[in-house]
Amino acid sequence: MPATASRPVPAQAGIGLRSAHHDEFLARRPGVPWVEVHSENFFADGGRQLAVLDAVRRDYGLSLHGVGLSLGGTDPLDPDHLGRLKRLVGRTEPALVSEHLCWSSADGLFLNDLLPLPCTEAALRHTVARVGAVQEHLGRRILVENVSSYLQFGGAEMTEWEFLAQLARRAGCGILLDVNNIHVSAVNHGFAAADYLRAIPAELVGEVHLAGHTVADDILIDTHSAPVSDEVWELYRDALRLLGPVPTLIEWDADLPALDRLLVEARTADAHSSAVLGERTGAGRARVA
Amino acid sequence: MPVSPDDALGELQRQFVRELLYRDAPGVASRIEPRGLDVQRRLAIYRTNARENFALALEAAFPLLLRCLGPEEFRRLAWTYQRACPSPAGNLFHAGRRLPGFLAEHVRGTADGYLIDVARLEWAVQESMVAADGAATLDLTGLAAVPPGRLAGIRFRLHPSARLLRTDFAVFAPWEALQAGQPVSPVLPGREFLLVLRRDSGVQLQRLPGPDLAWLEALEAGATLADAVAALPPAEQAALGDLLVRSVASGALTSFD
Repeated sequence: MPATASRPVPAQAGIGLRSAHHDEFLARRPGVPWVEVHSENFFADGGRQLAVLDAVRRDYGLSLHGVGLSLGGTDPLDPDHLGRLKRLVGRTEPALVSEHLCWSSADGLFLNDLLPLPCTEAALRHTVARVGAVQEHLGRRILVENVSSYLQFGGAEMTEWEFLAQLARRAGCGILLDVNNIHVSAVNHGFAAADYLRAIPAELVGEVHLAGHTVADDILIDTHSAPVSDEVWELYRDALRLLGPVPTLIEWDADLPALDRLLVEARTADAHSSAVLGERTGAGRARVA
Repeated sequence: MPVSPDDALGELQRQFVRELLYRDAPGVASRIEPRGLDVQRRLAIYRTNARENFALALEAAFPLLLRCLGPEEFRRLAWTYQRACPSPAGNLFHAGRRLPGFLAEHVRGTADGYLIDVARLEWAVQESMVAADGAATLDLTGLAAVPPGRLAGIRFRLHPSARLLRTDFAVFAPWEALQAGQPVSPVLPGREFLLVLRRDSGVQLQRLPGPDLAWLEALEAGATLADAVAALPPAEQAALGDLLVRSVASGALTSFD
């Protein structure tokens, strides 16, 4: 059991904490209210990584973000992966636990990527059941995140946003809404990002992600290797008008900059939030945790 | 026979994975919406992601191998290895588990044979890094409390992060140099007996005398004190106290029962 109670994740901006920043983060204790880590990086039985996480969670709100559970996959859920996630959740008592709306393996061969699902009723039913199984195993609600995609499978029976909203309602999970991923997929597939935002049940959104992408000729790639783009900041403001105050994460994984650069991005997100929410009236409402 | 919806989803996913890894399920392209960008280019983005994610995970786990081969040759090895031994789990940590064995199959007896020991060492380091936290170093004074009649039957326990390694190539100095950010000399033939162990400051490497390693290997295998001693050369049996002190000083032993 954790030695101290877990801290909440407030409706402010946090940062993705990566191992290259661990030492500096612990030495400086920057004034950011919460951090998110990739769950799999802490699936150890012991060692320094876990010790760092134990130290961080004492002073900061914590979110565990998984990339490898393959919620939409048709291989059986990996009992070792689930077991390690459950132990990590038990050890750290995070305020938020999340995974992706995607799949990553077939016949035991893992591509370790966030692969898109066909937007069919069959795939939805399958994913609802899998999310339910994960939540039952963990004994808690999780958030499921929309991914960036570079292709769409044929035979779609609904839009991705309808799929995500239905998944959350039918599985009883929350939504981690990645605004950069909406923008990337909107450009890549030619839909209106505003349509996506408007279809998401605001009361089920427990977290927002922001990140940078790369422009590769006529397609956007979700690289997490750049600052948040102007278009995504604008979409974030639109999202805030619909969602109200929400925990917002700055993700940066490749070409990782100095810790201070991430903190600047977080402050920018908070500034957007203050500006937008100042425009709103009656912003307070219940939100999924 | 009509397939159930889940079977259809599973078949789509199987084809997609095979086309990305082996290019032997081209029919999956017909399942992708053809609007806008060319379907093959869309598939290529995912193929590149899968290869890059895998190669980056290996680069992080095998930095000395990367230094020995150089970035381009390492990438070629990573992608060849990925096709032979794709990632077996959602946690990319496990991607490198079969690399030492893969190299043993393909480069043993060649000029690149040294790569096998480099990969064995670096995978041992990876395992040590994530192993359970162990008790503090063994306090030898506790042995005095063991009744003489029970002494022969006690079993020493090794720290969970301890990994024992016999190599045909001298990997110790190049690994140490890489850790220190110094120039890395070529890995040359030379038998070494190594203990990989995690300390507070991180994973450390120690060179051991051959008999010390054999003794620790016996203890790791669960041998009683009497059996482990019996397996030692006569000279080491005669200096058992020194051997025990060295083993404790190495940090490898944490307790006995």
